[in-house]
Amino acid sequence: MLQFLAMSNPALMIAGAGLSIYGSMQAGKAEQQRQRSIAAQQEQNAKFEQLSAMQAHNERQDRLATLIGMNETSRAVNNRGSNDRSIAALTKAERKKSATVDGRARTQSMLTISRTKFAAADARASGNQAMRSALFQSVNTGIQAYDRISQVS
Amino acid sequence: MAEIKRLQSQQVFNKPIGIVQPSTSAVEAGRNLERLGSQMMQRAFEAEVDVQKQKGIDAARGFAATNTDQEIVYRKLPQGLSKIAQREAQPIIDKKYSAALLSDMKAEAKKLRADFDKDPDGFDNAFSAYVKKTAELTDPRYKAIAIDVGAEIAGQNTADIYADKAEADDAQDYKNMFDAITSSGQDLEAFIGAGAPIHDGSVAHAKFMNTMREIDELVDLHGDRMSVTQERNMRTNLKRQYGGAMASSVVAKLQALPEFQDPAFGADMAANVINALEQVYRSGSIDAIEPAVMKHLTDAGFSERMISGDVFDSESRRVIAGDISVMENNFQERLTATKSANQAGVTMRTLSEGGVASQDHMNNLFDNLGYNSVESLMNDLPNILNPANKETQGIRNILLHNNSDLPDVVRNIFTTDNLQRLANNGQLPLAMDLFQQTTKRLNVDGSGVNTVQRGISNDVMAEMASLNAYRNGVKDASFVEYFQRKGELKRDPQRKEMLNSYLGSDGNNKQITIGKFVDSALPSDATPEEKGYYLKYAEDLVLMHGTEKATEILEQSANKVFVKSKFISNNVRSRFAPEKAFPLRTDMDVFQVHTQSILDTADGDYKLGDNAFLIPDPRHGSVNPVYMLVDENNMPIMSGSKPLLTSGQAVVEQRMKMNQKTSLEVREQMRVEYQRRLQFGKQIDDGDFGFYP
Repeated sequence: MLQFLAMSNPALMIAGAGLSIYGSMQAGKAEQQRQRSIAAQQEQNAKFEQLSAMQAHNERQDRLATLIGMNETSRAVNNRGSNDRSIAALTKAERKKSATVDGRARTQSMLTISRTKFAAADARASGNQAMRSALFQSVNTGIQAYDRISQVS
Repeated sequence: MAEIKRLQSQQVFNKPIGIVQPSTSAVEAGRNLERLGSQMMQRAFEAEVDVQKQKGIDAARGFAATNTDQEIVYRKLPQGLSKIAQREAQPIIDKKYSAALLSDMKAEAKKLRADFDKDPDGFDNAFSAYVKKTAELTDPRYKAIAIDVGAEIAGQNTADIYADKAEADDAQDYKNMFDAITSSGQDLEAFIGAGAPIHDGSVAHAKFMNTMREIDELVDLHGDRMSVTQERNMRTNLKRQYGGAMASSVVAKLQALPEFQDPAFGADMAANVINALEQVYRSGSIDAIEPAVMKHLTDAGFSERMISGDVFDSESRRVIAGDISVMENNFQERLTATKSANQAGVTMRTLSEGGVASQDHMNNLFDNLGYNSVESLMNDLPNILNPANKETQGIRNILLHNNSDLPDVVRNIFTTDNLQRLANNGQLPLAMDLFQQTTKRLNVDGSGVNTVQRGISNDVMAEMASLNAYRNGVKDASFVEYFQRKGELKRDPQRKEMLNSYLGSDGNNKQITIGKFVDSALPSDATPEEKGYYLKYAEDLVLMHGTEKATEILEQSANKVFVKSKFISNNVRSRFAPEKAFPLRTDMDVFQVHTQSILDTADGDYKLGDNAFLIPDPRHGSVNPVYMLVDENNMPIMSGSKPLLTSGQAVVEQRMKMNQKTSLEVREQMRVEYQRRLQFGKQIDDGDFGFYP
């Protein structure tokens, strides 16, 4: 510590510049890691969203199949032919309705996944930008240190 | 119909679980570290800036813009200085160069101003050329400074020279006018002093009025140059010059009036009238002046206008009165000098006729002859003792062939201090010869040598006898050593022992005392007074010469100083013997007749030397003693209730009578001479240049 205090001013300036560059790089690196972590979480969320969408779709298909089965059962019970048009029309309407809901759900799911993936990509980019910023800052500090030292030596 | 039941389950889906924001502490830590380093660098930089600034200042302080010959030398900054140090040093160095340039240019400007005094254009051309040349030779960095500084100095000096020139022209004009007025005053003084008329309307008066008008003109043109009192002082001075010259003219004419040319009393009368003139000027009035005096003043050109207010203020009158007083004093001094010279002539004549002069007259004579100090007489003594002309022959006769008292200047030669000085100058033998020749007289019958004291004190006589004895006897060293030895003996702590050694012992092996020695050395009839007198000198004589020579000196001296007299009571030897006091027969006769005339008034029949004798009063000295007259029993001779006294006063009066007679003769002769001069002047006025028969 005492040796440190006994250093000449230019030496102290070089040491200060070194510390500043090192701190800057460390801060950039830490920010990059933090953003990467956020990005990873967003990506994980996107996957969960996809899984959730698939699970909802399967559920809707299950319910449609169940409905159709029940209607078929009901037609059989009621001795209706397979070409009973009312039942067919009803089934057809249900199928159409299910397809519409599926479509909407898929679109919504895709939008959500896309947004989440975008957030992940943005966090990663932000981390990289922080690292790049730290690098620039370090270069700036180095140049500044050089300029000042050249003024006093 | 059987109803088929379906499981009523709740739908569960996997969903995004949100975002956990990671901690920013690492980022903060990094940024703090960055700030720490940045601040550290900044602080170190600031500290180093201070250091480098001081280095720059130090370097600049040690930087000389000129060499040892005070010439500007352009140099770069010292190597190795940082940029900040250079930035700090450069302005200081620039200032130094600027100051050096300024100093050089000022010096050059001063020199050129001396060369182009009162010539601003000449200065401007010369200085501009100098600035141009300087700028060419100057380092490019300072070229602009040189030109700027040069322009400023040139402008300032040129303006100053213009102002100086105008001021000098004006001052010269003032000085010329002032000098002219001063000169006019002096001319006026000289003009009146040369005898110009001084009445109203005279040329002198016109000159005075003209000069007053010149003063008016001077005040109009140059009043700002004159002090508050200068004008008044100039007028006062001029009035004093004019009035003073008129007063001087009156005094000069007064002194030349024929009635004041009487050689005996004329000068005294003129002095009285001049004194009256002084009083007139002092009082500003002629009321207290006697008509007779006023007539003299009027005859000399005095008029009442001379003391009137239009010529004088009261202070100026008093100043002129002071000047007249000085003139009067000078006149009195001249008068005294003339009287003194006349008296000297009378004394000379008295002495040349074999008469005797008093000491005062002798002093006056020698003063007039130019011998007013021992040195002046001693330096001329060889010429006097071996005279080459009549004048020195006359002085020689006075000294050697006359028995009058010697003047102070001669007697002072024989004081101890002067003898010692003369010994140092090698003139002592001459002084001793003078002493011998002035005091020794051969008896007419050839029976020996007689001593005349000539006013010299007994102490000096004894001292000279001692010195003479030394020269003629034991002289074993120079006179310089003699006096040194004498001085040393006075202070010698062994004096007593040495004296005893010289005196030795008697037959009974007993120390001889100085008293006994004096007893044995003096004549057997020596009085106690005589013994007491010589006791004072005996010690020195023994110590200086030894007992044998001291005895001889005492014997000789005793017979010179103490004389046996038939007139002194008890017929004893005395310093105050009339035979010694009045060695001249004529003086002795006068004394005897005078004393006898006193005795004739006594209650009884007395005759000096038969039944009447003298007892001296020692308080009056031996030169002109006073005696009490006593009978054979030493009882005072009385006239009524008064004891009778006698003295040499009659001798003195007799001498004065003789002098007075001679003085009257001289004055008569002067009157005759004056009449001859007047007659001669009249003949010239009449055109007759023949000499008065």
